[in-house]
Amino acid sequence: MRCRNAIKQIGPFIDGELTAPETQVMREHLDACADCSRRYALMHGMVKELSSLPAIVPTPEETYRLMNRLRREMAAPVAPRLASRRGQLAAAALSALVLATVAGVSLAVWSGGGPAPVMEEVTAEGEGVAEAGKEIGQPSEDLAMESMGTGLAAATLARPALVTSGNEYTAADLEDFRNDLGTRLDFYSTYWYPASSGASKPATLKNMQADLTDDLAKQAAAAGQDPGELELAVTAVMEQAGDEPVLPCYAERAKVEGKDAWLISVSGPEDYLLFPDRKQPPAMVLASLGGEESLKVSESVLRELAAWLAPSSSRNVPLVPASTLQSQEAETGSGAPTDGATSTPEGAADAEQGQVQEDFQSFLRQLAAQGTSLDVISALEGLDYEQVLMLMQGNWSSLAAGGVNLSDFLTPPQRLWAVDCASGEVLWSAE
Amino acid sequence: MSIYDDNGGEQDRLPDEELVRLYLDGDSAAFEELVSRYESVVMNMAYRLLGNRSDAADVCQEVFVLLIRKLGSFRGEAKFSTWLYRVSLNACHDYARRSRRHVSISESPGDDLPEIEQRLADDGFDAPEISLERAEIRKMVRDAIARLPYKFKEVIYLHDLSGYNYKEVAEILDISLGTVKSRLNRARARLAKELEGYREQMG
Repeated sequence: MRCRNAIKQIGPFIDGELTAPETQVMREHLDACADCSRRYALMHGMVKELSSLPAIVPTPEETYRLMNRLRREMAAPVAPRLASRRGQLAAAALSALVLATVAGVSLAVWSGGGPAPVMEEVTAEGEGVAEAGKEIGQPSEDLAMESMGTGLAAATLARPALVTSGNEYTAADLEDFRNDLGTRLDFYSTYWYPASSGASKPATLKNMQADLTDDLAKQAAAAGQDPGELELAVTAVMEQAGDEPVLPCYAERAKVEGKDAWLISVSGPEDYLLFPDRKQPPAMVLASLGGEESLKVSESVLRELAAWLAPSSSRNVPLVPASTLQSQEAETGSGAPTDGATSTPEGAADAEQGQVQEDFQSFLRQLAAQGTSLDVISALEGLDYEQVLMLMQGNWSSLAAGGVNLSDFLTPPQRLWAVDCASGEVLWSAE
Repeated sequence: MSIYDDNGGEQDRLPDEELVRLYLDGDSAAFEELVSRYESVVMNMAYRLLGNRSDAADVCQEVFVLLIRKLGSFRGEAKFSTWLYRVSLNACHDYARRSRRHVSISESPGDDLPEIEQRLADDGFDAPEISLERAEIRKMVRDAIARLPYKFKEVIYLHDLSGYNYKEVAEILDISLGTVKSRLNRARARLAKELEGYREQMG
């Protein structure tokens, strides 16, 4: 056997991929040839090194991000075959987005948990909106590339959306403008979560802000708008946000109080509160800053509710659905609004229960009368005493761990600005 | 049918192909089970081929999203795992190509992570008793793999790191046995040369 042939066979020899006669020939050659024997030893050592390299184990954060992304993907409505690709992409990316058409003028209304986007209607409306539909959730290669440098998840990349609606809004309209919750959810998983889990570098926020602003400017140019004006508006908003880490996620060209304006919405780290998966990543606890201001119910209401739910030795009344009662059983505490004897005869106990139940219902009706939304009230009904306390204390992580949907009780700051196109002056802000 | 039979909590592991069928019938838990079986496999493959962890996590997401979209076209002709390997290798390949202009972020695997992450999450879980020298050799080997041409990384990963034999590697990569053999040989020769150089340098 010649060395030239032997060299080619060293690998298969080590791997046991040679036939018996080939193996025999190889052995003989190695015994006789010092050079090949040295080559063999070296390669054998290398193969051993390779096979001893430890495998990496996905961290809980990585698994969490993966599963969330996949659950959203699986939950995305399946677009009908005839729907355009853009519709499908948007549906996949923004399952929570609703685009409603009002009186023939399309107005983007964003709300969590809504039905599948009515993309087809909107794409017929006008170029600007259609363009936005296309862009949402469809990462361009450019941006995907740029973002890789910052360690962002290209696979889940959510892009800012730009709409040229030309709608006329008054300040009052803007108050009601439920901005971009869907987009912000996507932003959470694309930007905030990786940032908080340490998967990106400290400089990333600035890079992300710059990338997203660029992206919006490009979209503006593509929609026939002046990208410079858009950049001016975004910059003005970022200045308003001050030290708060925010990312521009939505721009709409419209008129506000008669002036040409850009509506700019930004995403903040608090958007994690809207995240559908209730397992809250520990690193996001910090982001619950500002949670109190965004509570949908006042603290006094919560205090009253806690009083209703406080366990009392005299009362095991199912004020709340039975499923939430378990944790009360072991409780001893005070603060119940009604006192009662510890050993009430059965009939009297029933009567008392009926009375308490009625009082509780009237308390809830009162809340409704005061303007608390029915959704919030029904969510409150599902809480137990401990959970109400957690809500009062802002103990979001324990609530989330207990399966409470935080977005039932919390709403993120609106974070919407209207900026005069020409002057860059802030015309209106939600804050 | 659930992905596990309720048998006193005992997990009766269903074959992958059965999970695919269940998922296609609308059982999303079946898909989650597939993910939990293969997340680590895909992560490791992507990590070895791309050389850094955050890219690996990205690709891992891409792969499973792709799987959700493509499972309908899985015909069951190949084993699910072989099919998944192919999809994953293609995804890694695409990713590497897309990001070629942006490489050089990190020459060394794991260098893109903050120090604490590197310690926690990387190959760096070398037990403390492993000598410094061994740890250094490992690092050298990892770095050398990262510098290999992509085609070489594939075979090294599949054969030397994952334990597939030549025939299986050929099947997964859809190349001939001879090609597997020669690529593997050349890849190892390069690595061996680097290892030799390193040892000489260390005296």
